[in-house]
Amino acid sequence: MNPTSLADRDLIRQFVEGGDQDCFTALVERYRSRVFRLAASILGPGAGMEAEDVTQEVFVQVHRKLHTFRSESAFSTWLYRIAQRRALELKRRARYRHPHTGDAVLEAMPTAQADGLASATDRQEKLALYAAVEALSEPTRSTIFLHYWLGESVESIAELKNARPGTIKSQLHRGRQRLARLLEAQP
Amino acid sequence: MTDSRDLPIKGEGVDDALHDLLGSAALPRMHVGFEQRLERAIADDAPKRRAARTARIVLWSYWVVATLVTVAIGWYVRDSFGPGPGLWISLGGAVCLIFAVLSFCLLASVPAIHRNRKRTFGR
Repeated sequence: MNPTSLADRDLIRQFVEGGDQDCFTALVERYRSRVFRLAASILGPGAGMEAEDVTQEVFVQVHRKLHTFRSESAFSTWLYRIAQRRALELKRRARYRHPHTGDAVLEAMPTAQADGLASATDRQEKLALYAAVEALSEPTRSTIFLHYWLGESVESIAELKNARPGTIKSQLHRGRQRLARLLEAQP
Repeated sequence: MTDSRDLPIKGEGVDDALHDLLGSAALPRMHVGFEQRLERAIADDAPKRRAARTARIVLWSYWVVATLVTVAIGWYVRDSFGPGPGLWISLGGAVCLIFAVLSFCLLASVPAIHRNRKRTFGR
């Protein structure tokens, strides 16, 4: 049978009990994009390579530890939790090493206007807003990134974060309020 | 009650400002060949973990042996030169220090073995 048509629990069972690598590959195919997006939402714009590194590490860990998965929760929940933890660890280490907004982030932010002064002002405002987003605490920050940057719907964010859609809506609402306060407080 | 989307930020709503900022930011993309790199990383994972485990066992064994040798030397020194505590402590301490320095040097070389991450783009 084609592994891609099997349910997660069947793929896991065949991989753990029979060592079927195709089943593991099917799991990777099914979830790699979502793990990558979750990692990217935590690491932020300009850290695409790091998000890919996290994705790779997550699947290496899953390959090693899949026999310990006891099916008490959905596989996706278990997987996203590992991805979230890994990405947050990397984010903490990166923040310790590079406490300021990096060049990669600045390059990822396009400037809208072509003329010099307007462009500079626009860039300053964007940087201020970006800094305010970065100042938000988790999980609000990554929810903002998932929604506004990666274009995820409230429902798919809820699935990624194992939360209710109402919780995600509330995080977005609180995030916007906090951003407004942070930016209004600026000179 | 005011919807937070409409909250003004210097003339525009938070929602618009976020769409403008993040909606135009470059989207992250996975590079071609992820599966192959993952396969290699998984293949490299087991030997690396074995090497790290061996290194840990060697280090702990080394500490145990070093401690036993230190105690034996201290005991020997006490028997040979009398129970003078100053001599016993200073000789034992000196030996301990040498072993500690050697262990530290050995430990410093271990992170390279421990490092399990496989950088994909050589940065």
